[in-house]
Amino acid sequence: MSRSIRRILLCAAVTVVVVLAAGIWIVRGPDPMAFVNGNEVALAAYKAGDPTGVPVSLSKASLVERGKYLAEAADCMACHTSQGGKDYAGGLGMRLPFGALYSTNITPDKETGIGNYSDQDFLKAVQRGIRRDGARLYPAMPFPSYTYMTDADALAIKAYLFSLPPVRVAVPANTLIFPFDQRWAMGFWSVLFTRDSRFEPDASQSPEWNRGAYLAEALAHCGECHTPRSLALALDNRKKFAGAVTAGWRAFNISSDKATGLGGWHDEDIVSYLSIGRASGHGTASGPMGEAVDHSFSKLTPEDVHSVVAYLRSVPAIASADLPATPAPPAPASHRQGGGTPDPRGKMVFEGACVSCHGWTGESSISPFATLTGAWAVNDPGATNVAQIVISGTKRHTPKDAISMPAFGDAYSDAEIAAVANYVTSRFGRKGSQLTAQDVAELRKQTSE
Amino acid sequence: LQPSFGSFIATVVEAEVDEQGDVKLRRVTSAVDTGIAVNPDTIVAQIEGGLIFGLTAALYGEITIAKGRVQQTNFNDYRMLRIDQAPKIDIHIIKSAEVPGGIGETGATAGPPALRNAIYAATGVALRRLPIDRSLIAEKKS
Repeated sequence: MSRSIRRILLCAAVTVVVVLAAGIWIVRGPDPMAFVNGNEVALAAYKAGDPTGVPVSLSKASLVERGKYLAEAADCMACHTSQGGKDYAGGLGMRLPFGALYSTNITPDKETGIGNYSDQDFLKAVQRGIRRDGARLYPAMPFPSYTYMTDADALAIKAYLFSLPPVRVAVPANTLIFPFDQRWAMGFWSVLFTRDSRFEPDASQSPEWNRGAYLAEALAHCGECHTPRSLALALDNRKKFAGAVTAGWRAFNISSDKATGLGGWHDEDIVSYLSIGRASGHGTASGPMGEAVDHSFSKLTPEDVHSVVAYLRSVPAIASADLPATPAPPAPASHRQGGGTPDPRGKMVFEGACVSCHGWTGESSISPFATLTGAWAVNDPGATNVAQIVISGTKRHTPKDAISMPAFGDAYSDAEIAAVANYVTSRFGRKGSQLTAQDVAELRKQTSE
Repeated sequence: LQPSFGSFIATVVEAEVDEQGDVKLRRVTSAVDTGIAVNPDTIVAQIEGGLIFGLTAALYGEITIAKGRVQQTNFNDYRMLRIDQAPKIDIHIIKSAEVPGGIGETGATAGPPALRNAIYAATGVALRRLPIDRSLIAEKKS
């Protein structure tokens, strides 16, 4: 082979490698904590206090107790418990456009749970998304986030799970269609889109920020719902925390954008929202966020909640173009004034089934949890969460006097639910929605069961 | 016209059906012969309440069972006719010297068949099951 041909081949090979690498880099996007561009150091080299593990107040607690705190912080319960099912026994169905995925039983039952998992098996599943039998997990399991968890913390969670009574429940088989049912293909996905790396503190940031980063990224996995996904369904951290629709609910913008993110919220508002699931003037956490508060954030120590707030504050602002600059004020007290819709059914359903709790102004006289004024949900021109909460309701447990909303989805038609959602957003929000019966039918299909 | 608990009642329902199969009740007229009318106000109230109860059952009263359990738990998933959906109701009491008949459930039995006939008149669809299946009457309006 002549020298020139060899040179051409070499050039071609280098080009291919560079283009591939650039392609992967573009598709993959930045890491979740890359936005700080700071000074990451190995955990062992970070001397300003350990950002991982449990809070100081629990440092003397047993392994199982520490594991319980961490399992709650990681909110394993949210997905691994089905409605009416035993804790951690799995079976929650996540409905995707290409079939349903069922969460697994993570009680220590040897046949249907994870009773046979060794420490190494458990770490591989949690941090890398590889099952004990070598099969790849789907990223419905947030291993791209849990990969940042330390071995010690993951094993504490394992110790806690293994301290629970084993529950013998086989979960339903997944119903994914081809090619999504090909688990082996997830190997390529994992190589492309996930890191296999533990949390590294940032020496240029405060210890509080680092603790918050660890809680939010490695444990609470906020990004899994609040960060939009790319076409390949990987988190797109170029739009970190800018909001997304997951399982038929809209997770709103939690970047530091002043108007449409958390930039305009006071610290105590965010603390209140995370601890009890509502903040004055900002509405109530419902659906998946209500569950996250009940099962996870409400169990964190106040210091940990403040750390999460410190971390959220640092996430670059990204505006949600469809949301108004400020939520709408309360609606008039008389039903004759204020926003309405051409379709009279919206008001009919509202006055029949909604007004007794939510009131004509949107400021509930029954409970602050039922106040609509100020919530993004009613100011969202897509009305996703308004329609969704009418369909599936919300059940809250925190604090003790929290009230729940029943599900109206079985008694009202898609057209009626669309009409009432349009009425609610036009009466209590800045800009009314234009939902159709088809939109509501579509939302019903996405809700986890 | 039907005999009902020892009384006789004739009922006409005036209803609208839209393209989605939603039924709007405009007006209900009943004539009732219940024998001696001891307390006419109570008779009117009983028939009005009974009609609304019966129309609720005809429109929304479906009970479904899954895994051996009734699925409906409360009024959020077992709907009732609301006050803003209630039709105008006219009750005519027939003067009679006969023995008094029952009035408690007379209206309840009269609502569903009269509504069913109104839907037949409006759409040409002869429903043979209750509660009303909206999908059967949607877009069948003649």
